[in-house]
Amino acid sequence: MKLLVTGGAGRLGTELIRIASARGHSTRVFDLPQVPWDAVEEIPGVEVFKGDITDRDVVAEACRGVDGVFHLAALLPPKSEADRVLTMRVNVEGTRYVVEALEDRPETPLIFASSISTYGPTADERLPISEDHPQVAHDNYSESKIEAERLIRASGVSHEVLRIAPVAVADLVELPDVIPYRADQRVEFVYVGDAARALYSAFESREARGGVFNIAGGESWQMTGAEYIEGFYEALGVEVEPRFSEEHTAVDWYDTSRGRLLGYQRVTFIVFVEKLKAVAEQLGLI
Amino acid sequence: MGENLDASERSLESALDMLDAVPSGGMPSDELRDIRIKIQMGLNALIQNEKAIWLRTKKGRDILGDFKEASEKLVEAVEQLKGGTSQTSMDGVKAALADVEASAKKLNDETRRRSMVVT
Repeated sequence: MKLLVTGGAGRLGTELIRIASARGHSTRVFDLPQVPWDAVEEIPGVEVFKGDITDRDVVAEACRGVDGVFHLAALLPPKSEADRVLTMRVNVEGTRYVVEALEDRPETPLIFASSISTYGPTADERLPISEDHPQVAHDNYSESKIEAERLIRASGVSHEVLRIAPVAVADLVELPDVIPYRADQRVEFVYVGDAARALYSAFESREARGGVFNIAGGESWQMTGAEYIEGFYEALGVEVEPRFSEEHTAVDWYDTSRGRLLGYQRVTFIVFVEKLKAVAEQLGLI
Repeated sequence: MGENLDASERSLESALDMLDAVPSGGMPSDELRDIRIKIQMGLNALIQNEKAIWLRTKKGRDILGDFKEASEKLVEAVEQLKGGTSQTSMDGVKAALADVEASAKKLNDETRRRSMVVT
């Protein structure tokens, strides 16, 4: 089969393309010309499609002849918070163009990468946060994702919506000036390979059609912000002095039971830490 | 790691000081201004990235080593301007500056690549 991955040159997209390629599918990877393409180009069966998701004709062309679409292209925080107009153009209008391109093709599923950020800050609420929790637009990004979800659900397009938790990558990541959550806040991330597996499974599983799923790491990933940062950098052998947000932000612990049918939770936090240690050794940090 | 970073900063600061001593009229002022701006940008890259964790990796240490070497060559090249500017001495500065710019770009690009992203 031929699959389209918008925003496919990013870390999550690249992992997804590796999985699809290993299953024998070819992928058309849609992303901006200026992003780094090296990692994607190395994967067998990849067709590079350079373009802008805000161009309706280009999106229509990208969607032509594919058997499934993974829509990952989006402007993410912190960039999304610097420019509301651009965020809406990319995240909402871009989604509209994908939906339009698929409207007369009910056999072509659209797998949409949404975000758990759409639940808003939930620190004072009862746990865990399920897919039935109301969505609350609290910044440009969440507003755009909520609107994009609405567009997809209102269309006749066959779809699944995956609300993905912050993605954890087993690589050295720089500390931002301010960590975007409190030290004592509940956080739950998901390993990038598991998030990619969830996306792919959503495409393969007919049972999942029309569904909305929380995608997060599971119990082993449920901790506080300080525990996560400490575990992450300790594994890398690096001492850091993080400065955490003073406000509760839109990350929490999630009910991921509905998404179990996607069979994606394979990398526990302990395994992730082992991966980080291996990376630290490769990089010459330890 | 810190030694190479500090040495590069010192070299670039010293190159800027030395440019002030270049005889006036020896070089078009817009060209001199352009060189100053580029050296300052190299210095900014060092200052902005000095806390970057990835600088502690082997790759980071190598880039800082190259940066130090390029900065020292720049100082030598700028020193040649003291005796008056010629096409040869100007070419030497421009070549050394290009190496500093390349190292600064590597610093900025790698830090950007390794910045934290939240979905």
